[in-house]
Amino acid sequence: MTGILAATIRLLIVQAAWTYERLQGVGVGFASLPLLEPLRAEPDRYRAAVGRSTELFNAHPYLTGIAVGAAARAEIDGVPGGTVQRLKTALAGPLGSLGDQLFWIGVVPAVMAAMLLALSLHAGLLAVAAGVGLYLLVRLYVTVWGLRLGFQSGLQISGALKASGLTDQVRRVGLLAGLVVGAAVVPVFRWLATPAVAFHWWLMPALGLTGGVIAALVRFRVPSARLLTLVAMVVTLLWQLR
Amino acid sequence: MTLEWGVLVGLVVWGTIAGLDLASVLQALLSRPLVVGAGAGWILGDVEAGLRVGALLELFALDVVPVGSSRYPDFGAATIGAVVVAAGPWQQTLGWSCGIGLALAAACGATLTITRRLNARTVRAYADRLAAGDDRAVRAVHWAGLGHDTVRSALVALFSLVVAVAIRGSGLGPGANAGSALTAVALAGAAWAVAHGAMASGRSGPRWRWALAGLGVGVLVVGVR
Repeated sequence: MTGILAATIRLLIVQAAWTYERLQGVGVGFASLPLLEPLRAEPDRYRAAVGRSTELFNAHPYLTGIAVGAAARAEIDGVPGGTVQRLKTALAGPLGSLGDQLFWIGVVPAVMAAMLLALSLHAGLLAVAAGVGLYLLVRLYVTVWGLRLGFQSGLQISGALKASGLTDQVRRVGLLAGLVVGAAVVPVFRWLATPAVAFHWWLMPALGLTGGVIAALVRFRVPSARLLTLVAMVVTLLWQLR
Repeated sequence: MTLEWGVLVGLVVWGTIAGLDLASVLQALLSRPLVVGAGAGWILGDVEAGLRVGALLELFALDVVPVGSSRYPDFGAATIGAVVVAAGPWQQTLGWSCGIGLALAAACGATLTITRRLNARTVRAYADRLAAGDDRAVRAVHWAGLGHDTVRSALVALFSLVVAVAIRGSGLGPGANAGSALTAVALAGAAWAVAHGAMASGRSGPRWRWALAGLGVGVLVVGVR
């Protein structure tokens, strides 16, 4: 198994040893080991590189491979340890922010909303299977791409990342997510409410949507919608029991 | 409804996979309520209940951003419990099962902190060897972390299942009127969560306008159908 392939597989479990002290640090070290194999012939360099690789680091898990690859390339190229550490520190924030915007509040809501919309149009299990399958392909592709980009670029990763156009995708994916989530709302609530709600199906979702929007506009700090719902359910049950 | 052993084992295995996907392995939608609900419904032989419960809980999950150090609910095991409660006459128990799912998600999510503390303890035990660049220590700590989360995921799946089976067995549940009212409340809460999530992520940019355009498309789709 090549170093890149082994590191890619390890990146899929990069957060398994997540801690509040080192965040993804140990996982990054674990994923870096196959890439650092060429240094084994020089035990001191190898051990120093492995030791550095496990130190504090955090980024979006899909994009961590970019930092893993870039740091490993820098270690192999003989870049001083302090510079490798600074490279990882410089990458952590942007890769975290970029990944969160691109995936957690971009691709994931878009895919989930598309699946929900398809379900409301009676696509059934096929919609879920297709959505998961497509997303898995994206997830694997991004991991392989990021690791290769980092490993090829080393210290030049910042320029390579900029040239890759990844940052441009954030805006596009965000707009797409807005469109798909918006399009899913009415069909999904109608599908869920029919025939489970005895009265006008649109009334409560409309109230909830209005409440959520107004609360956000006036910056009304409420507990999460989940807690609010649970409290409302308890009140409803007590009212029904009286 | 009586659950056979094979079904129970299948649900625990599915819940464990979902729990691992939440943070440790892949993070590829397998822990999303809709996906877990679909799988649980299929295992239980009631796909429609699984999809409906999963979809309702998914609307709440859209408001959650699983950033590393934040505390977030674990919807995987919780959805399995909710689907078990709803399986059968889901029309009457959709809101009720959603409420149980939300409570279970909060309880299961709290266990993530325990796993991370266990990981930290392992890291501290190996701290010197990690600093010295001992690759065997790196592997040992990482596999230990994966082991912790596997055990956590299996336990929360089992916990959710036990709670759900106990609720079903006790006959606890709303009547027709209360069931419909609870579903209406759940839909309002889910709508609040969607609106809050949309506002939090796209309030100041063009995304909001695109969401409104999408809303128009959705209204058209419902009108045409």
